[in-house]
Amino acid sequence: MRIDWWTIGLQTINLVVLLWLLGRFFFRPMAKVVADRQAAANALLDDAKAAQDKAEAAIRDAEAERDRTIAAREAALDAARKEAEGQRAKLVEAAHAEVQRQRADAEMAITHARGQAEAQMARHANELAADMAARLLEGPGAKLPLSAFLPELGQALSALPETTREALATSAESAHLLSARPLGDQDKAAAHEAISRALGHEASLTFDADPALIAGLRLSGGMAVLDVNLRADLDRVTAKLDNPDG
Amino acid sequence: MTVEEISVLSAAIAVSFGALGPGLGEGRAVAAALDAIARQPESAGTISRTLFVGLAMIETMAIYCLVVALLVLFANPFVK
Amino acid sequence: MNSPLVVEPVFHIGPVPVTQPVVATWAIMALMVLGALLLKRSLTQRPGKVQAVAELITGALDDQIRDVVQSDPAPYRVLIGTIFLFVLIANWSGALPGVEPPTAHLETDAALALLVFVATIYHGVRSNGLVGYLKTFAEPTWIMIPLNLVEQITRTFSLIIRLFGNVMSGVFVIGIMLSLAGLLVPIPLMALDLLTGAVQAYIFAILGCVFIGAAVSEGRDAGSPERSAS
Repeated sequence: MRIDWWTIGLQTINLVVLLWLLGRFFFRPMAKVVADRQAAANALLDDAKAAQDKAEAAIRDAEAERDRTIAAREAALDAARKEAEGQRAKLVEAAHAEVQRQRADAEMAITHARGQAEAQMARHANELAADMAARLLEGPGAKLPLSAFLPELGQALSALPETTREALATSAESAHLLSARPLGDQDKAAAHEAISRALGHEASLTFDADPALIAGLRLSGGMAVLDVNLRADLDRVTAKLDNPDG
Repeated sequence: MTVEEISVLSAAIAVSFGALGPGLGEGRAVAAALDAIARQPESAGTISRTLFVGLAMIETMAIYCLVVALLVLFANPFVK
Repeated sequence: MNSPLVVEPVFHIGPVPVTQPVVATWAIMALMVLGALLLKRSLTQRPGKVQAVAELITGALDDQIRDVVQSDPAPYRVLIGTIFLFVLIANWSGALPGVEPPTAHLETDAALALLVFVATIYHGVRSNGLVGYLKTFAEPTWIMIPLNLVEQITRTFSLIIRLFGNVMSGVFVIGIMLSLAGLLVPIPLMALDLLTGAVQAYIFAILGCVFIGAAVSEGRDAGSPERSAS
């Protein structure tokens, strides 16, 4: 057995040279190509990623925009709704107030009308009562003598103020004496005498009859009208009944 | 017996026994590998690659015997 | 029959005897460099068929180295890749008529193993420092120093003998078959040789890678399981 050292040496040199050559011409270019391709792929991926990021950002923007729009619309709707509700509440309130007022008016009117009606009715009743009283008194009143009224007339005349009394039934302007029935001469004289006494001077009188007085006298002249008769009494009573407050 | 005759005989013995052990070992290795592939077909690639390497390793034992036999036959230092 | 252990010089350059394996190696080298140059000239970003195959090979090599070394394959790619490709082509060159594979001779295998040996020391020192690398011989205890030293030698020798024995036995058996049976009969054996050659090239490269990886990583994690690989 013989080992050829020369061959070992030569083969070692050969292999080292081959190592260098292959490293230079095969492995390094291959690695470079692969690395280049990887870099290109990475660049492409980065580009794609950037594009994707941009697209996603755009989508996010659009979504934010949409959200904003929705929010604005909702706010507007809200405001409109609130306003509408406010309006409606105001309208309802106004309507309520109107209704209340109208009802109050109506009630007042009703009350008023009722009051008026009642007053009317009362008045009618009073008038009816007065009429009835007048009819009732017609008979007995006619029988009452003049002398029943003269003192009262005299008292009424005495109650008059001085100036009025003096101006009443003067010769320049005679007073008018109404009686229920036509007076006889005797009665006329008694009335003239009683009135003249009450006035303090000679009375100038004209006589007339009016059955509406029922019974009694009415002396009218100048500014004064003196009623001493049942009709006037009835009227007073009726007026009192009509207006119980006053 | 001359040295040459003994050398031939010993070379034959070396190769025969050197083939025996690795043969048994390789049989076991292949059997185990087939079993593993049957259990896990998805890892057949890895198993068969490892099997080849292992078989080459085992076969190296037989090769050693062959080299010794060749040395005995062709480069016997005791043959003048 | 000629002894497979002896090489005869084909011619002499001065005092240097040039043997048949050296000539075959030169031819293979020329072939590989020529192919690499042609490939390099047509390298593009969009690979053709040839470039795709080349990239597939280098990619697979990178993957294997990464698996074994557990780090970036770039520093080891050129050495391991060159060894793999050279051993593969050299083993398959035996299929050509009249060519004896250079790896069928001890000297070529010894040169390859020497390369691996030197690279192991280089990378071990480079990654751990000289002292750090020497300290790995005292793992796990200082008693192991002689054994570790012997292991360095024996595993290199086993590397040599494995490749040599496999390829040489193939050539030898084919020669015997040819002399006994004649033409065409050794063809199945030659096909088997192709398979053996590919597997042996792979094993040689991977073992070299394992040795280097062990030397690099032993400083990091003491006691690699790959150390005792024969």
